[in-house]
Amino acid sequence: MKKKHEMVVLTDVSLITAIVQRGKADELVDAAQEVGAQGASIHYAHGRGVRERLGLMGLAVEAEKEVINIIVSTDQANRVFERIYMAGDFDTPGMGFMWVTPVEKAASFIPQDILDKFAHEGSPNPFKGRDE
Amino acid sequence: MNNITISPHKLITVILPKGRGTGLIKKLVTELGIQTVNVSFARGLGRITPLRHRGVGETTEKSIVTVMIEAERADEVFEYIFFEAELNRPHGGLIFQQPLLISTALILPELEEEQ
Repeated sequence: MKKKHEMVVLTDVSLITAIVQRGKADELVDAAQEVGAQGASIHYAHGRGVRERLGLMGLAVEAEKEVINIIVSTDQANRVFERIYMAGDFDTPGMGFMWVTPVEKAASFIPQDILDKFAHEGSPNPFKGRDE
Repeated sequence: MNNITISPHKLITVILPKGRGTGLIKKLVTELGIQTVNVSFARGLGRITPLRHRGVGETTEKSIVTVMIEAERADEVFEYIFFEAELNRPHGGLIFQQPLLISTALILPELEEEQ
């Protein structure tokens, strides 16, 4: 008997990327989750630019950075973006910067109860099957 | 400017549990012949992060694999990674694909693979 594997492809998805001073990321991810973000990945980086122009010998701005990546549905993107902006004081020079890039598609494990909910609501079938 | 490609390319990013990245890039290189693969490391969290339920911590270590691929092969590679990396299982990770505006060509000469 053939075992059927299914891949649920998500469209209308955006990627929010924020570069912040080291130690700020967890607070900003919490803020993003409060308005609907599901999760985030965080990695470290080293930055330069505005730091050299601010503060005494550049000490006011941390050179080590955290880079936050958050995948959100496109209709959530503005809300999550604004929340991170406010929580991170991005209107203050040197606090960091962020952007949104388009994602053509995304996929992950989706629990069956959520898929059933889609089916009950009469949404278009999001399944893409593959026989093996 | 010879190395800048004008054919459309895609960037596929895969977020995997720690330690699963190197195995995946080996398969991509040996089985699909893709050379434009990279792995980096991060910490990550999600609403159903397993450790969160046990109260040990909120973030777990992740391997992040990025693959630059010709647009016409992107769907095939996306699906290959999804099943080979077992992203269809709980806590398996996440994959997403983005368009690229400009990319550089990486054409390797015929060389034997080092063991």
